[in-house]
Amino acid sequence: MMKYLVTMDVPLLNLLLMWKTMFADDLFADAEETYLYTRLLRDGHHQSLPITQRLLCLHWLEQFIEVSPLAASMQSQQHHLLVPTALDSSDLRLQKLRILTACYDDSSDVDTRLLISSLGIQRKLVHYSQSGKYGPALFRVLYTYFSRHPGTELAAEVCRFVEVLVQAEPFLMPHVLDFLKCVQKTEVQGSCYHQMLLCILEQVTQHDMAVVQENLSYHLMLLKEAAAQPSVSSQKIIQLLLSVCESTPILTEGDLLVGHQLIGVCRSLLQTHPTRDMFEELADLLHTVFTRSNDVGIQSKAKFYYAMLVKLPDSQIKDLLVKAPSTGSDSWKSMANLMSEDVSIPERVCVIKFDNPILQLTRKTESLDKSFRLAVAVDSKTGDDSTLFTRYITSMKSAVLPSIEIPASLTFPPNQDAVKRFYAGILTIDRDEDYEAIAEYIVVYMDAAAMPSHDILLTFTPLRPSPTSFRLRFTFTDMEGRTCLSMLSPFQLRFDDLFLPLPIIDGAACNKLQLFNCLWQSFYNVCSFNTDPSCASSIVVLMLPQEQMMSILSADLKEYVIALEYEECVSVGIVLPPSSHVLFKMVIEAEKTIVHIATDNWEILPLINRYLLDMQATGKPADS
Amino acid sequence: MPIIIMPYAYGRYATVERRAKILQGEQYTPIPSDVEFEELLVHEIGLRFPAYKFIESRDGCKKVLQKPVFQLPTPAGNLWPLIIIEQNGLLFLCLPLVDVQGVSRPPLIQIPGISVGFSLVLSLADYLGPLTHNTTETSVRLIDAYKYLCEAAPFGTPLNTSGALVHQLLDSKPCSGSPSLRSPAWRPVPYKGKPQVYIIISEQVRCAQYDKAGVDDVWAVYGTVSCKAELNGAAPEVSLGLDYHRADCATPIQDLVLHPCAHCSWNQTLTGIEDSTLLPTMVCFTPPPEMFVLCHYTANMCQLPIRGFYQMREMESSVTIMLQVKLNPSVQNYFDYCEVQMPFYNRGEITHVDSTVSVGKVVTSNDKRILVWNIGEKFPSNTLEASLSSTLKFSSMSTPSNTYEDPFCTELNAYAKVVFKVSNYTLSECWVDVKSISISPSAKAKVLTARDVSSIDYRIWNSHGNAPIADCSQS
Repeated sequence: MMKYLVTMDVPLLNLLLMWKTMFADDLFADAEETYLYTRLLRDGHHQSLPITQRLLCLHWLEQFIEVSPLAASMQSQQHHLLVPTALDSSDLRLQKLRILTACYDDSSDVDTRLLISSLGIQRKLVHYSQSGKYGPALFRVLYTYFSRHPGTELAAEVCRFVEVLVQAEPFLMPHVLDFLKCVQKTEVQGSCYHQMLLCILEQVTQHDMAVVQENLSYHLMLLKEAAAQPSVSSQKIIQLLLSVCESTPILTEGDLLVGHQLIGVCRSLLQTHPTRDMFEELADLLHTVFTRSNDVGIQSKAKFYYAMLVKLPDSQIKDLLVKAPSTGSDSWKSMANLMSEDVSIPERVCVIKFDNPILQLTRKTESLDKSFRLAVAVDSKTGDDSTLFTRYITSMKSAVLPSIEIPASLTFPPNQDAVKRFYAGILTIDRDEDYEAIAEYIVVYMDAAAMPSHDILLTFTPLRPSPTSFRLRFTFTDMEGRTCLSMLSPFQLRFDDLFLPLPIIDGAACNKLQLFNCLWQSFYNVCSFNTDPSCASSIVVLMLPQEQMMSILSADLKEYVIALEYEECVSVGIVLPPSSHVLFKMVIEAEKTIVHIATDNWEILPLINRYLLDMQATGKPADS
Repeated sequence: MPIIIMPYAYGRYATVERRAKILQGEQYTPIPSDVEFEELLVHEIGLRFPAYKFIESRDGCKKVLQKPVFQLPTPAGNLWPLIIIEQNGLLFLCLPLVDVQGVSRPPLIQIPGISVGFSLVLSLADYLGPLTHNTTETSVRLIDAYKYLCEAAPFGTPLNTSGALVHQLLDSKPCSGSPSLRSPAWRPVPYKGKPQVYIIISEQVRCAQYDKAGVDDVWAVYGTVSCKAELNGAAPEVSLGLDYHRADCATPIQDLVLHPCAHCSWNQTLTGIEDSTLLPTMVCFTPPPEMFVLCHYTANMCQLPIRGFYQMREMESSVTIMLQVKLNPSVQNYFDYCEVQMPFYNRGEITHVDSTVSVGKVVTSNDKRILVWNIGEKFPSNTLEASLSSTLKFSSMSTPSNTYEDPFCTELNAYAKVVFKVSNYTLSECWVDVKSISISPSAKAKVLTARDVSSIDYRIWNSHGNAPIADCSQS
């Protein structure tokens, strides 16, 4: 067996260990068993092996120590190898101490002093890094010490260590509170938890106010924990908070986090302690907060709790502020849920996200009047088209065209069961570079049964005439007071949505036909003489019978039809905001329509082409 | 056994997943999609939130870590045991099959898949080596990873995970000798050519010297014996003797761990073994064709090769340092290189240096944050000592810097790092007696040996500052 025990092959070594657990003494002599444990211990210490392999060996060893007295006694004899050194990584130090604590016996070499002094390296790293980075490893070891040897001198020493530690490093308070909670769950009596909590609270109350202010956020965490314990004096907590409010500028500086933490402590006191024991002091504190705080939110919450305190009996306050059960029933409703003072970001999700859209945005069939007027000063006597064209174009460039408005409706999709009611909904349409920012739409309340739809008027202001798919986000508050987010199906803004009719010219005796002819002539001249590269003309033949074409014109392009020049030729004038024009002259024959196109924006020719081809394919314009 | 190389490649084996479904029944947890998996992993290993912020699921003191074995919570249940190792800036992951029935979470020892998967990902990481920054999912190196997995773990069952061996198998035809000349699995391709044996002993020394009363310095000397045996035949056997010549330590070499192809004979009977003093006289092995690590060892050294005293003090606007280093007389006084690096963290850039040295020269690093004293190839023969005294000034810390700042090294907390390499020498004086090498079947092979020792993280801490040591009195 010995020839295999020296292998560097990890699976082979694992196989030997499996045999040891399966066959115990039947396969391994005592000397071999001793060597096996030694091997694992020394591999954990072997600088030449990868750290991950060393860790794995130490995990294996730990499992043997738990079941084998021989392994435990042998590790005690060689404990010097388990004392962490500066050459070990943080993970190795942690794992070595886990094993070392398994060998703890205060009468042996692995005693309290050794275990506590072995924390020195981690303690220094915590001190000098001045952040929580090294905290988790240190507190895991401390908790391992405590949970494996409760009621011993080691456990008492751990408590003292934590008390001293948090006094020197207040930024470790979140770790200390987590440690306290774990200790509370581990203990039957809960004496260590209370002693530590009281001791640390005492330390905080004895601090100079400047020190308290410097670490106020951490100290308020402790006060909130202490306030939730009926055995802790509420007077002491309130006195400290009053001192903080009066001698530090926390209320006037308007620190949102600290302000909410302060309110959180007050709520904990109201939840836990009888109001008769603290009525005057707490009222005084809340009054101080709502009269001196610069933050409206904190003022209102303090005022609310003040009103509760002075107007409601103790039992009703407790009922209102009762904590939600940890099982998290969906139907649970309490003031504690709706008025959270904890503004810290929850660790996993701060917003509940829904994978499927909880609402759908659909167009309404009603159409709006798109006509608009444009003030153009034209000398009607001269009747000079070039003058009309120049002045019209100048007016168009300076005019503010109407926005594109589309009536739509928000409704619950048929098979959506996740959300049936909500309030405070906000529909956000993502910004597109071709459009001006779109304002959010607010939906106060919707209920699938009572208020199944909500009408909104979508408004778009194009910067370029470009059909676009807009992403829609809907944030809302559910009936439990949680913030939720759902992505809705995108909204398609089509090319024909951007159409506006030619304007009615104000201040000049010029009708739409004159304007159309003027524009047509100008665009064609410009194209012919190539004086403006943005103008373009084109011809498309649509294989649409006359009857169908006339139907389209009368139904869908009615607003844009200027005139029937003669029976088979129709003029259509369209404005595309912000300042483009599309002019059609449609020569309608029995089986086909020849569309002559003129535009002052050559870039939209492909879009026009697509629009006309869609019209041919479907027998009606685009997707209308 | 899915293999993942974050953030690039992703491989899963339907055969293994099918077996897991059958074995675990209703307790089976499906593996999520790669995008979801990556998101969950980033959360689990604590990269989603900054380290300084307390996150209970990550930092809670009740959380038991079993690195490199992790548990990955998914919406459908927990994926365990997930092996994660980090190498060359990549995460290598493996989720092995747990074929222990009746227990939801058996001890690690009882899951052979963990050690097998661990070996596989380590070998894969070695096989790939460092990747360049512009590596993409379609890069040749990552395609090589798939080839490796096809050869090393067909259908998700690891067979022969050695990277060099897989390389040879991909490039060459396997041995097709007669049944009487069957070669071992690790030697599928026979060597044909001039027989030669290379043996390299490479030793490293790490240390931390404190110059503090009541605090012992710590150091570790360890090494590897690597071998490349180019020998004809299907299964040649080599035996060699490891020897040492130190009078100050009874057993300078210990904690020998051998390559699985090797076995050894012992110089003590089993009943007399006292834990680590196990030392073989002869190591016998049938070598794989590539260069391989025959064994790892540690050395029991009584004295440090270079002892130093680093004294740094802060003046009003400058820092003065005095550094003395002395070579142990027993160490060979001829270095490939020997220099002392004194990094200055949390101080800004070095703007002024006024140095006096007894030997060598002093320069500052390109980033102006490290003072480098190049001692050269020899210490003065008469004293074996060298000293440096220097005064430095620094720019203000206000200049933005992207360089690493060790949070521990503030004010007087500082160290000097000795970087050296000595060829044809080992601190343990471990060596291979060429005459002891025998090859079976007999062959006249040329034997080449080499040895060297180099420092890794050899630190001398400032006598006047603090150091990461377990002396509670100073914390």
